[in-house]
Amino acid sequence: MLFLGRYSLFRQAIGITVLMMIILVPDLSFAKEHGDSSATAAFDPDFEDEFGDEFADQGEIISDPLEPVNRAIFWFNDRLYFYLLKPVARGYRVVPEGVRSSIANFFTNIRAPVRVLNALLQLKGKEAVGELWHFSINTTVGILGFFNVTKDSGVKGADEDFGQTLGYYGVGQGPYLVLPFLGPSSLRDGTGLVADGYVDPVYSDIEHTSDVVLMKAAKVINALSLDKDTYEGIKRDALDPYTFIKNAYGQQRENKVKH
Amino acid sequence: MMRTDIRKMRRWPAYCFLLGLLLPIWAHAGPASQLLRQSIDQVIVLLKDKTLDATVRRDRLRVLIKQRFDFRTMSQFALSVEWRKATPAQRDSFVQRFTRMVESSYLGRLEQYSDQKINIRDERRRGDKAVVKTVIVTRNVDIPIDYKMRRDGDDWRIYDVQIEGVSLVRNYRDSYRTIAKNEGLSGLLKRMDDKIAELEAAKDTSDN
Repeated sequence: MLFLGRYSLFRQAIGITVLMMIILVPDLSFAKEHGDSSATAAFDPDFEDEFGDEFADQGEIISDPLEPVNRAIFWFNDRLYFYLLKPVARGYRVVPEGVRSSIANFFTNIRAPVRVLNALLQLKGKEAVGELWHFSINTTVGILGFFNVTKDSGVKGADEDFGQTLGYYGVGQGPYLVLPFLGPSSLRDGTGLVADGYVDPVYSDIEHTSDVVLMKAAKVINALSLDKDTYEGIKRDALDPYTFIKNAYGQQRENKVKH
Repeated sequence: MMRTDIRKMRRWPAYCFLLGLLLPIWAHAGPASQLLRQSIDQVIVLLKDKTLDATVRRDRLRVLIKQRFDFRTMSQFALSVEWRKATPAQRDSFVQRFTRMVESSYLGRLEQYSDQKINIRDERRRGDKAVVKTVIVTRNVDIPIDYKMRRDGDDWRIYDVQIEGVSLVRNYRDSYRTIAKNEGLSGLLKRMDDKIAELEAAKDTSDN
C-alpha cells in the first residue's frame, strides 16, 4: 500500500505489458511451432537423465570453501528465524488465510518483469509470452495480482531469474554462500539477485530504502505465515540441517537451470 | 443382408485379439503408478479417518509405507561408496536406522495433510525402473513430486523421491558422506542412533 497511491506501479505494469506485446507478437508463431515439434519428438533427453546414476557418487553438488563463515551466518539466520520472524508470522496468522494467500499472489505477480526478462535472455519465447499473459490477466482481471485467476489455465509461465540465466549460458554456481537475512545462495545466484533488483518493481519503484526493507519483510512474514513449518521439519529430521539445506539448494538450482 | 452380418461377426475374434494387443498401450497408467495410486489412496483414507487413535493410525501408516518403499535399495544408494566398504552386519544396522529415520520424517509430513489433491501425471518405464510423476495441488502452488520405483517381482517399490527436483536419496548421500568421512561409518551409525532417540522423545511428548 506504500506506493499504490502514486499509481506508478500500475501504470508501469501496463506500459511494460503493452511494450512486451509489441516486441513479442512476431515471436508468437515461432513459439507455438517450437512447442509442437518438441512435443512430438521421439527422443527425450530428460528420460536419460531420470534413469541415471544412482550408484555413481557425483561428489558435492556445490562447493563450500567458506563453510565456517557460512555456518556462522546460518546460525545467525536460525536465531533470527526462531526469535523474530516465526513469532511475528505466528501472530500475523490472525489475518484470514484467504487474505494472506492473496497477498502472496500479489508478491509473486509483481515480480513478473524479472521472470519475463530472464526468459527472454534465455531465448525461451514461449515461456516469456506465457508469463506475460499470466501477468497481464492477473494484474487487470485479478486486481493488481491479488487474485491468481490464471492458475488453472495450463499456460506455461516462466520461473526464471538472472542466476538461472547465467547458468543457462554455462556459468557454474561458484562457491556456496549463506547470506544474512536472505539465506542460501551462491556466488552466481547472489550476483543474479543484485541484477534482478534493477528490474524487480519492489526495488526499482520504491524510493526509500526503509520502505524496500519493509516490503521485503512483509513478503517474508506473509510467506512464513502460510508455510507449514518446513524449516522446523528439516531441523528435526536431518542429521546436519546445514548440509541438508546446502544440498537441497544446490539440487534445486541445478534442476531449475535445466528447465 | 444376413450374410454380410455373419461375415462381420466372424471378424469379432480378430477385433478382440487386436484390442487385446492394444490394451497394454492404452493402459498408459502402468503398473507402478497403479500401485502408487493404491498406496496413496490407502494413506489418505487413514489420514481422513478422524475416529482413529493417533498411535493406531501411525502404526497402520508405517505398514503402508514399508509396503511401498524399498528401504534396502534406498539405503544402498544413500550410502553409496560406504555401502561397498561396509560389512553385512553394518549394512543391516544402517538399513534398520535409515528406515526409521525416513519413516519418521515421512510420517511427520503426512500428518500435516489437509485435503490436498494428489494427481498422477505420467509414468515412464525402462526395464525394471520407473519414474512416476505426481503433483500435489494446494491453494497457492502445485508441488511436483516424482517417485522413482523399481520392480520387485510383481511389485513396484519406491527407491527415491524427488520434490521439486531435489532428490531425497542424493541429499542423504551428501550428508552421510561428510559425516562418514569425518567420523567413520560407526560414527554415522552413532549419530543416527542419537537422532532416532531424539525423535522418539519428541514423539512421546507430542502424544501426551
